[in-house]
Amino acid sequence: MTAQPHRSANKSAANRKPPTMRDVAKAAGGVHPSTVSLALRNHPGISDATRKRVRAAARKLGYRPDPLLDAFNTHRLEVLPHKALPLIAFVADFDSRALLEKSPAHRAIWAGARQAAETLHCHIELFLLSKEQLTPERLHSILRARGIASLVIGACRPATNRLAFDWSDYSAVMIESSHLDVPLYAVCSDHRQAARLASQKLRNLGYERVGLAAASSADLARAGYLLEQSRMPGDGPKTVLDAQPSTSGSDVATWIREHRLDAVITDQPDLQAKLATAALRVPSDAAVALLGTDGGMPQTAGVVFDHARIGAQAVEQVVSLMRTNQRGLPATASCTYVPASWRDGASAPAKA
Amino acid sequence: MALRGHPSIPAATRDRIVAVAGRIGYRRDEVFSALSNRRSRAVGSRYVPRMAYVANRSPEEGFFDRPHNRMLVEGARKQAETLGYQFELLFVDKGHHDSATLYRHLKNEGISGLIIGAFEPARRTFELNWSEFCVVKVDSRHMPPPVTFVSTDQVAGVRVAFQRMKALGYKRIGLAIGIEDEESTDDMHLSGFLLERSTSPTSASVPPLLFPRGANQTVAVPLLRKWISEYDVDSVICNWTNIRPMLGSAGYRCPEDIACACLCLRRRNRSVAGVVSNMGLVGERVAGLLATLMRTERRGIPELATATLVNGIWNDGATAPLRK
Repeated sequence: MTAQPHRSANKSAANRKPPTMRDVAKAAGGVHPSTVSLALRNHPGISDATRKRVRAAARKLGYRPDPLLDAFNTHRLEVLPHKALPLIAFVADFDSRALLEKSPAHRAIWAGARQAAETLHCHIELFLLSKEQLTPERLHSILRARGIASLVIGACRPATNRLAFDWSDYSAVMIESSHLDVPLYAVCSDHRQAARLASQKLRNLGYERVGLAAASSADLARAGYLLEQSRMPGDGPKTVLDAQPSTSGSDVATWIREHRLDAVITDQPDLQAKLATAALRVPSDAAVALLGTDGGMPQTAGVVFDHARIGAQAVEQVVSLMRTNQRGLPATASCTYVPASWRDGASAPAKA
Repeated sequence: MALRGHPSIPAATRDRIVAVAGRIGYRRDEVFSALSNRRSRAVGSRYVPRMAYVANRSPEEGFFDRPHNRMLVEGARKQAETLGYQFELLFVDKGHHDSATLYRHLKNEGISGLIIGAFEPARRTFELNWSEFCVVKVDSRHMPPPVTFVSTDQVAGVRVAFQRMKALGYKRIGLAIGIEDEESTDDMHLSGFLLERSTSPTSASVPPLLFPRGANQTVAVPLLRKWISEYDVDSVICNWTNIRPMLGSAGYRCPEDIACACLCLRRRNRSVAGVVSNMGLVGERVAGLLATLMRTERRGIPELATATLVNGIWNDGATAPLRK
């Protein structure tokens, strides 16, 4: 058994009265204790200078937030709606809200983010980032003026390759936007796991010659596919076709025939339709498993990404950053990968 | 008082109140109870919620001799304390806890959050009634249950090492890895290697070298020698920190005969090339994620467990110079 030194440590700690918010308020030049509370939670109503002063005083006195009180407050707010909750900006790269709502993935991300914000008692507000709505520069100045210091950058389009933010002002988390090339904390679908899952499921369904047709940027899907293929008994194909929206059906069909594939994993939602134009029948000539199938495609087998969980995870992470006052770009990037699940469909039935 | 079964309330009154509470669906607010309980009991002291970091190698067996353990624990402790949690380090190992004593200890001490810390394969494991605890895992993934996981990003680590070796002019780049390390990290090293190798025709025929289970240096060195000579490997990426002396034992001079990059460097340095992993940050992140679970009362095994991966940083070093 381990020794339990904390018992006595607790006792000695009990003899010293821990500093309270009142003590911090006094040490921070006589602000009100409620200011201390707000400042430590990065409330937008507290100026930067006051926040820094309060934090310095808290650090000096060894004041620590009380997680139990905090859990209690989280809980209490479920009963008592609060007027001035911390505000998170959800930045969506869309020209209009209608367009966002039209994309099942983005709609689910946004819904998940709202749900998590509600659970954690934060307000979350949607900002649309686009030429017609807001440029990054304009958004930055609005956020500053409103004292919003927490950002979730929701899945930027490939065309948006930079965001002109002074990141040092923000606690920020981004969703699925690795092309932005900023080392922000990120939340993504686990494309490596998704491709592995699709490979394993197709193998279990009896398919032996599986290829991957995916965008060249989908490198983690490639990594997952290559790993699973390396585990196939015998000399299975390890063939990857660089498939873009512009890739023609006949190019894909030629590749399938050339490698004698009996199934294809793809991230291109319209692959089945394209193959039909090239007289290749799904699933009798080749089965198709889509990385990112959804309710709109009931016939298509594949992996389903949990977009709502991705949105929720991003909000949870940004709240965690807010609470520890971590702003700016971290020294090293990190990403939380949310796993996908498999869904059977007519495009990949069990092989006779 | 009736609901708490206080002796001063007559049984009849208590039963009546309990019945009414049951009928209208009143439930005691556990958080509020804990808070008021603390208030009434503790004057001047403070109840601090606790999280425990559980490892399966005891200090007697060299837990603290392994730098990554120290860095993980320190990162986690720092973040836990910043967030106001008390942090405790526990061991399941010979002379320490097993499942039963660990469970009792956690219950007795009121520890509801658990970090399964860098568990090593083939050492003691434990089982709990997971639904009673908020649980996360760090650095090692093989032990059940499937819960929120944090580690360094070995896919990215192998990729950056491969790309860097390629840029330095190496043509026959190989990966040497312990099979146990692959198992405990969900095949991240191999994934990164196979991906990069698929874009490098000159390395295409170099298969990865997997050191067998439980292999020590005596077992690994002859395998390394045979693999290098058979596949004409000119640079080795390896997650073992002693790769350079191992190459020496295999009869190769590094970097004159062969280059190497280590995937587990602890700090920036000039002598050994490789990837510096930020274990302190990994520890911080795992404690942060656990705190979020504890705050939102999410206990047990989630339907889908996320993996949070922290990037390492490439470090140029003398073991991998620019190839002439």
